[in-house]
Amino acid sequence: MRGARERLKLLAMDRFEWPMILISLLLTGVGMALIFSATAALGPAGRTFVVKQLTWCSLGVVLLACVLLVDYRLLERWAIWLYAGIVATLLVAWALGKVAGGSQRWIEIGFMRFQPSEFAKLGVVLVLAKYYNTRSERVGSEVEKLLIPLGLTAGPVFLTAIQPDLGTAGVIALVAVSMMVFAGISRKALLWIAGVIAAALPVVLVVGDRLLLDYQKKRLLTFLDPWNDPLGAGYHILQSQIAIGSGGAFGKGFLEGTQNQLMFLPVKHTDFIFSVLAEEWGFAGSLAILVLFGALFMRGLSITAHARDTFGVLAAFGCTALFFWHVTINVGMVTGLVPVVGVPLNFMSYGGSSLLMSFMAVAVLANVSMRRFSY
Amino acid sequence: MYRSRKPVNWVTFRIVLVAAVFALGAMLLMVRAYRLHVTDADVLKKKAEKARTRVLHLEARRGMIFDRDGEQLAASLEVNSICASPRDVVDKAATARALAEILELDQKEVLDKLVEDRAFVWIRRRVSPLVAGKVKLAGLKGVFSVTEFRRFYPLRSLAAHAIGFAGIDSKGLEGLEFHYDEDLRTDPLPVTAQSDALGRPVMFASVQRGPGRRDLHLTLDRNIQYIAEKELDDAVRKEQAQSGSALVMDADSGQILAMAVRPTYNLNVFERTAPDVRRNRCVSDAFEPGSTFKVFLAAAALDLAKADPHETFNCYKGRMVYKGHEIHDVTPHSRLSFEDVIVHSSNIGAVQVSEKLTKSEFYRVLTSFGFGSASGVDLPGERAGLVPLPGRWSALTKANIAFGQGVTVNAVQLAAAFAAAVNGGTLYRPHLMWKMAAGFGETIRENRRVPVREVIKPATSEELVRILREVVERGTGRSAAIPGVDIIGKTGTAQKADPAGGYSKDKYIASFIGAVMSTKPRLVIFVMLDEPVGPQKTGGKIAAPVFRRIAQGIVALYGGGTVETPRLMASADPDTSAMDTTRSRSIKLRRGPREGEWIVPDLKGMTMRQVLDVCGRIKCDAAFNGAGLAVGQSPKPGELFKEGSVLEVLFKGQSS
Repeated sequence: MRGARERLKLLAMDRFEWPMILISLLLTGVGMALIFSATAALGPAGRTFVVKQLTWCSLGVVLLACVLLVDYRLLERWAIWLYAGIVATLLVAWALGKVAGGSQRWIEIGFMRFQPSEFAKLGVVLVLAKYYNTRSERVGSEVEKLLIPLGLTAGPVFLTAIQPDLGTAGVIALVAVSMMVFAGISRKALLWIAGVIAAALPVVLVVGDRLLLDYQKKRLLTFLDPWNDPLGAGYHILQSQIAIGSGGAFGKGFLEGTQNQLMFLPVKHTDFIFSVLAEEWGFAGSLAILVLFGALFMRGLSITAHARDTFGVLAAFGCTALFFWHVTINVGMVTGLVPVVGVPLNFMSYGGSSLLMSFMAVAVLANVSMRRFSY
Repeated sequence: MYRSRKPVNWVTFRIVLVAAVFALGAMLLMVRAYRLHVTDADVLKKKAEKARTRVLHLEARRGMIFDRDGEQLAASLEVNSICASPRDVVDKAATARALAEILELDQKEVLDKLVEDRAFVWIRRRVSPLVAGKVKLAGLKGVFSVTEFRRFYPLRSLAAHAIGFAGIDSKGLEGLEFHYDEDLRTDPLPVTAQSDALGRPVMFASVQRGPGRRDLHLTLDRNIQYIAEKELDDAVRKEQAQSGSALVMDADSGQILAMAVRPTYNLNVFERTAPDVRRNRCVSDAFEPGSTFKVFLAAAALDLAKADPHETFNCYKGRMVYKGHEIHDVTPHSRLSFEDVIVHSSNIGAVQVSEKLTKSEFYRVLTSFGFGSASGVDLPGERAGLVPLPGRWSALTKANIAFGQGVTVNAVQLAAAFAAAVNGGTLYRPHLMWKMAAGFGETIRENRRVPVREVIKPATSEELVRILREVVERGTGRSAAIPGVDIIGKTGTAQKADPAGGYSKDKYIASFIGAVMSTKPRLVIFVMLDEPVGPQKTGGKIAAPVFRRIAQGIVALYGGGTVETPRLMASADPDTSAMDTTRSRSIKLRRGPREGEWIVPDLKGMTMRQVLDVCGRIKCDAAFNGAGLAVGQSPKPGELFKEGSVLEVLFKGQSS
């Protein structure tokens, strides 16, 4: 009969990934408080956001626990099926999804709605990790080795982009490219890429001009000069910056953010949650959260460095890159560094799919971390 | 399961590289955050401030208007308007029911307003504080009241033309309300309100009282005003006159104590009145004065020593041809002394007196009395009247002016000029404002008496008073006489100019200008009835009795008969006024020679509340005994008093 310790060992619980999980739970907690504050002005209706987010959070924790119980190599084995399933749901979303906020990105299952595109991010990470794990055993030219992962990425990116959800598509593409570069690209392939980009740029610009929706074009133009149209397209960027700036060094205090409470901040409980934080907790609060995210990245990279196998390395790296790009784009967007694109801030933005996806990414990272010595 | 660990050396370098990139990214965000939070904070804070604050201008309480005793003539009352924020109303049906009951509105109408998806709706505007209190007491969620002001004239039509009115927006439109609008108007209080992204105000500090309110204290005496109004009203009704006016003026300062005009109107509903009724005929109507003008002829002749009071003139039995025109007297006389020309109001005599004056002499004296130029009274719309330039005088003009034709004057001008003629010779600028005072206390500015000029010599004035006394004793003004009271005056009966040319046969202006010389101050009273249709149309028959009744009323109220010692009434110096009846609301507090010392004021006759107010201002502890009005005090008035010590006051009589 095995002792309790043995049993723990079997489940790799003796190496429980505390830092990652604690950081993510801490961020989620702070996010919850911010959502409470951001929706306080709505009265009782605002309270339901917090309740929903709490529900999603507990579901996320349960899912996380489940994922931790199985060896991540199971994910490797299932990666292609997970990927296929996600592409299928994206197709479903495209075919009969629910339109919200000008795009078709929701799928409804009973009382729940979720965004398959969120999970596509994770699916691409896993499928690419799996591809590169087995790459050394494959034959084929360098170009072929480049085209396969690009092809694997292109599907979800395209399906997301046509929703249209450029932010998510961009994040998927960025994560995928990060992984490819990390996994290693030959000089020949790099030249190829450079050549293709150089050739495609004019085409993209012309076609993009035709195909980009008005609001997308507006966002890009507005990003270049937000004061051009302070009440229209530049509104998000400006109000967000104003809120951050008015927070000053130490902020106005919980629930005291005037720009937030008076509803100047747009979509503040979702994509712009960071500006609520910035206004109410000031530079100190922003810095603390950025440091937490920084710690999350570093821990993620540390897990990557110590992973047992290539799949683990790439899956961990992919998840870390996922966090990195989310945070960089979201905070960059809120602070006016990058154009406004719909990218949520992991753990903190209101939204079940995003929260679940974040927890699953943490689960993958923790799993890789906990099983780095088990063979 | 136990395959060997794959060497992943290639990872290490890349991971360090990636870590550097990630760290750089995080650093970049932090730097950006620092820039916004700290470097650009001030600029952005200002922008935030600008975006969310909205300056609202809350209507402030307009200054009040008081009579000389501190009685309110015009006040802005707080009224409450009930409004609601439908979004915050939970039980709309119940709220509508409750509101409909309290505000006496239709329940369905209220409900309709409450179900609107709006942040703000008026339920009912301008309700009494009592009703607003009930609403408050009902504790309905989402229902609240805001304060607005409504101009209210407690004495309704009393002195309506002098006071004028302010409109809904608290802007003076007429009368003193208009003339002193700059002072009375309190600038709207700028209240910075927080507003949300949709521009709806969400919170603002409530302001209780306007800081800069200025109150207008008038020289009007509401008692004298009442007497003048009542007597004028009776006369206008009895004689069925088109209009009438009565003016009471302090002969020695130009203060106007009463200004009555008929027809009149209720100031509280001024908008229902025709503009013609609102016109202040005392200043806005210039008319030919008629025989009252002989006073100024006499003043000129006497002052320039061109005629002796006892010099006689042939009065041609009431009919004289002068430069081709016939001149008539109402009562024929054969020969009259200069004095009797005035006493019996002989036109023929007056013409001959005027012959002794050159055009320019006469003109100079008349303009010196203030005719032909605005009196400067503090009312809008004054018509100065006209005295033609001597160069334009025709052969007859001087003769006409001698008995008050061919010149026009307004009532205030005439009263001021008459005052100058009888007070020793000084023309004072007529005025209605006594002082402008800050909300509850110190005077901002005061209208001291303004001597315009010395018009005639004191001796001339004395002589004139003697003659005018004769008018009342044995002349045309006999019905103005009051036994035991020193009355002087002059009647006036002017034919009205006919629009078709010449003078109307049956349209007259009957007037009487006179003075009560035994009161202190001496009071000039002018009465005018326009187009009386009764059997009597002369000033002596219908205006003089009105004068008498007004004078009687004043004397009965304040004393002033020659027999008894005149009691002090509202004196020329407002600071010492009103000692005997009710105390003026503010008393003058004087500081002692050293810091923290005061001269104890005389508290006699004050109510406890007023004493408390005084105590608050001189910072003393009050010890009260008894109830009612203050009758004794320790320390005594005039003694030095240190701040913080005890002032004992004894009260007696009924509590007020």
